[in-house]
This record gives sequence, structure tokens and C-alpha cells, in this order.
Amino acid sequence: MIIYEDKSRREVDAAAAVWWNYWDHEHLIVVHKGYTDAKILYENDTMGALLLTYKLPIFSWLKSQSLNIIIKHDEKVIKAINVGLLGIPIMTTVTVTEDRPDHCVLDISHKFFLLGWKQLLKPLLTIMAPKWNERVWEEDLPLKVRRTKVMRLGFKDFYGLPARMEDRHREGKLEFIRIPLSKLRQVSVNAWRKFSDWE
Amino acid sequence: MNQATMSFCRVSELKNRRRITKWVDELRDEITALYINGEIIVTSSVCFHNGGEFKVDWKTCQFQCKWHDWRFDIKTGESLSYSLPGRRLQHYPFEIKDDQLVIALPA
Repeated sequence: MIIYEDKSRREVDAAAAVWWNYWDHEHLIVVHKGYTDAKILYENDTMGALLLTYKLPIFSWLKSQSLNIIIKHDEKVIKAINVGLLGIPIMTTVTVTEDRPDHCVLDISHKFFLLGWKQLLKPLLTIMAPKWNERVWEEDLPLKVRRTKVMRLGFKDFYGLPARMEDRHREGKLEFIRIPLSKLRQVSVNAWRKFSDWE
Repeated sequence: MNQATMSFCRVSELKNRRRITKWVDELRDEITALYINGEIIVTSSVCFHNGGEFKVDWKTCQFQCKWHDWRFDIKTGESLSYSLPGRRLQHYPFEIKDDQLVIALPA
């Protein structure tokens, strides 16, 4: 087996609280091209297990599924383990460092575990992985920046901006909100409620 | 209007573009002016859910959040996706003066 690693460093004018983006399973099918469904199989305050349905590259009329485990490793590090296309396991590590107020450096690593004939895919991954990761970054970037902006205005989830304009500001460090993120009971990602009958 | 005001955009430009969105520091809000079915509406355009930005579904007169697909009735400001009792997107009063769309600022 060989391991191909794609590493990148990103900077963003957003607080570390935008970690929120990685735990926001609801945005996947709306913001990111290719995903057609997301279901939460299990979630607690340190991890989540997701079943994602996506269109296959090139053969876009065909769909497949991937299993994603996302883990809050510590206060700065998120790890995600994904088994999807061709059964290739991928381990992603995102380290978020807020180096100054409302500005973060993110060190992102994707490790592809290539077994047997799949080692032949390494040259393709060398080209494609940076492109895929760039696309995902670009799709998420406006969310991270705007989220910081509205939090600085005192935004509260499911409520909006404070009613009184003089309350629309928040000083100090923006804290990451608790996971799992609050979700309405009826949102489509809440599959575990349906699947709980299995237990 | 006796209170403080600010010029938001030219009405002719709004009629041409149908939608103009700007962050307005004086109101600490993102404001969208729409020219929709011959009517002008000036409204907050920050989604109640997570603060997302909207695109406009002109056929149904709805805002559609780009982040999670929440929908709002533009005319009433009500969430159509999920019930949020008592919550509506804030509409801002305005006047038209010499082709300028003028919004009242809080006292």
C-alpha cells in the first residue's frame, strides 16, 4: 500500500469559530456540487457519521455513496475519515489556528490510502486532488467570511440579528458553538431519527 | 421624513437591475432593494437560520438561502421552510426623492 498526501495551507479573514462549517452537514448538498443527499447516521459532541450520496465523476447520471466519519480531535484539529469512490480510504486533517482576531490559518492534509491496483491512480490523484480541494475551499469560503461578519453583528441561529440596532455588535473572541449543531427536527439530514428503528 | 436618512441607490438603476444588495453600516444589516412586479421592497436579507445570503426566485417572489435552501416570502418576510413564530425579515421604510431610494435611519 502507498499513501499519497495532498497538503495545503489556507488563510481566511474569519474567526476560528467558522469551524462551524465543518460540522454543518446541512450545507453539503446545497453548497457543494455533486452531492445529492446527506444523512446523519450518528452524531454526538465529538464526532459524526454521515452517509453522503454523490454523482460519479464523468458518469454523472450514476450515483454512489460514501461513508464519512468526522471527529473533533481537540480544540484546534478536526479529522475526517472517508471511504467513497472505488473504496479508497481518505483521511483528512484540518488544523485551525486563529493567529489574530478574525483571521485563521488552516493547515489541511488529505491522505489517500492506495492498495494494490489503486496505486496506479496516484498520478491522477496528484493532478485531481488539488483541484477538488480548491473547488471545495472556494465553495465554502463565502460562508466562513459571512458567518464571521454576522456573528460580529450579534447574530443568533434561528433568530437572526438582534432586533435593536444598538445591540448589533459583539466584541471579544468569537467562540465556537457546541456540536452537534442545533438542527430543526424536520431537516432532511436527520436520518438517524428514521434509522433509530433499527436499534 | 424628519429623521436621518441615507441614499441607498438610484431607482432607475434598481428598475434596471431588479435587485441591489449592500451591507449598510448605519443599519448594521445587509439590505436588499427589489423591484418586483412593479413594486419596490427594501428588506433585510440575512437568513435567520445561520446568516446565509439569498438568491431571488422571481417566479415565486421568494428568497432562497444559498447555504441551506431556506425560503422566505419576500413580501411578508416570513420563513416558508420552517415555522419561526414571530420572526420576519425586517422591511425598511423608504422614500423616493429625485430618483434616489432613501432609507430612514434610526434616531
